[in-house]
Amino acid sequence: MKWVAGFCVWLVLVLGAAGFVVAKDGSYLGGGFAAKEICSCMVLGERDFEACRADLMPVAGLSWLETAPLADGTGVRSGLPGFTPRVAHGKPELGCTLEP
Amino acid sequence: MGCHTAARMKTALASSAALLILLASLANAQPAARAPLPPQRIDVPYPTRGWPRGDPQHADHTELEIALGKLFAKRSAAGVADTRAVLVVQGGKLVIERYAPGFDAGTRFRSWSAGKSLVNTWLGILVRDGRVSLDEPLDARSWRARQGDPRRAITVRQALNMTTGLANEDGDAGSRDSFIGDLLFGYDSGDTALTAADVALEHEPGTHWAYSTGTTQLLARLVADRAGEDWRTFTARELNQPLGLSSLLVEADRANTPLAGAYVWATAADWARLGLLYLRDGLWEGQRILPPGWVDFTRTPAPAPNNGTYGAHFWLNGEPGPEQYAGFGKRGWDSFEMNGNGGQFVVIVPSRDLVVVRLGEMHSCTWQELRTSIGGLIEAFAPGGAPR
Repeated sequence: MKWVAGFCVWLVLVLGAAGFVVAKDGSYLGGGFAAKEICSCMVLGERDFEACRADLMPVAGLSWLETAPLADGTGVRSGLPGFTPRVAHGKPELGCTLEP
Repeated sequence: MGCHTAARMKTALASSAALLILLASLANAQPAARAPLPPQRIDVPYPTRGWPRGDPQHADHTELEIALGKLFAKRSAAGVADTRAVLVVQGGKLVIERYAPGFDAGTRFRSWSAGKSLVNTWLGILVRDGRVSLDEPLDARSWRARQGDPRRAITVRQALNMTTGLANEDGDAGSRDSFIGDLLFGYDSGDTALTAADVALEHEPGTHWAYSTGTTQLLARLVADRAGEDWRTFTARELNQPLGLSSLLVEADRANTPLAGAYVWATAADWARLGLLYLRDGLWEGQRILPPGWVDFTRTPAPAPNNGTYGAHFWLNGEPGPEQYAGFGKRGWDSFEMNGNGGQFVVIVPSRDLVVVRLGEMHSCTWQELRTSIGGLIEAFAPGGAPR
């Protein structure tokens, strides 16, 4: 029975690693989408954060993202909880740029 | 053989070549259904400093109200109207201007893919000035060092027609694996032109149509490289100033390539000005902004067997190719349009001397509903109905 337990541990580790990679990529892409979209909407569309967030094109997993305006008012950050959020900074004369 | 005979042969060869070019251009010419582009009336000023206004002429006002009512009826879950702005320009005059609550003449609206048409405008200006040729190689930076790279055969014309053959088709924007998602928001979003170029060639250039924001980004990079100055300064002098565009703003990626494929912002009135430029064959207050024949090239279907409704970074009204945007279908009028996600429309209708602008989102309405309502709006105006 030891090999069954070993296999289960291995399976959990593999699935966990795969899930982590998928979540990390999803956070990067989805967070980038939400941060950029909302930042541009606020800076160039001159609308408030909530109005811009409500206008986001529906994309799978969007509701899992933690999205908020930056404290200094220069942009928006967004990502899955536990992952580094993506940040978009904006200027009224240029619009918003996503950080790497 | 004497010099005289040689000269005559040269002349004959030149004449034959000219005849062949003429025949080739006639072969490429479009069916007569395409209406001529109507000139601006001499007593109607161009809207450089403000829009001349008027009432809709030769129009069914009941039908107009029905179409407008349908456009503004659908709302998002937050209670905001999907349609935020509708403008109609008839005969050069602004005859309808309506906004949803919370939006007004000062609101900048975002283009999504309608911004792609601005790349056509930029390139028209550069072609006019001899700084770009339609049939020169697109030659992205990363291809230049590779001798014999088949991608180096792709021309500017093919990129405008979306027939590069590159494997950079948008895909489903909502999908994790879509090319456009990675291009605009993913790990490779810092330099969109590099990302768009770094793909394989799937089809021989010029033989297959595929919609690609990446291709627009390759052209946007070309514009930035050939502008001869900062592309924003170029845009301000060559476009914003002559047309009186006070709100036009194009965002950029980290490599300072204009994000014209998706992130162009302008007020509804400025979107209408851009539409009027095309309706007037690229002329504005006697100044030629776009070279002669440019707008006809723009509204000519790209020559690929799977294309029917795409011109040169503008959509056309016609018979779509497989899995292609259907436009307004086989209605009795000609039109070409800037068109973007969320239902951004700048529709140019030469046969009715109209520009119709619809801007907003699509939370609860569908493309079909929008096309029906905008089609109803256009058909409420009689053909050739602009006051003469």
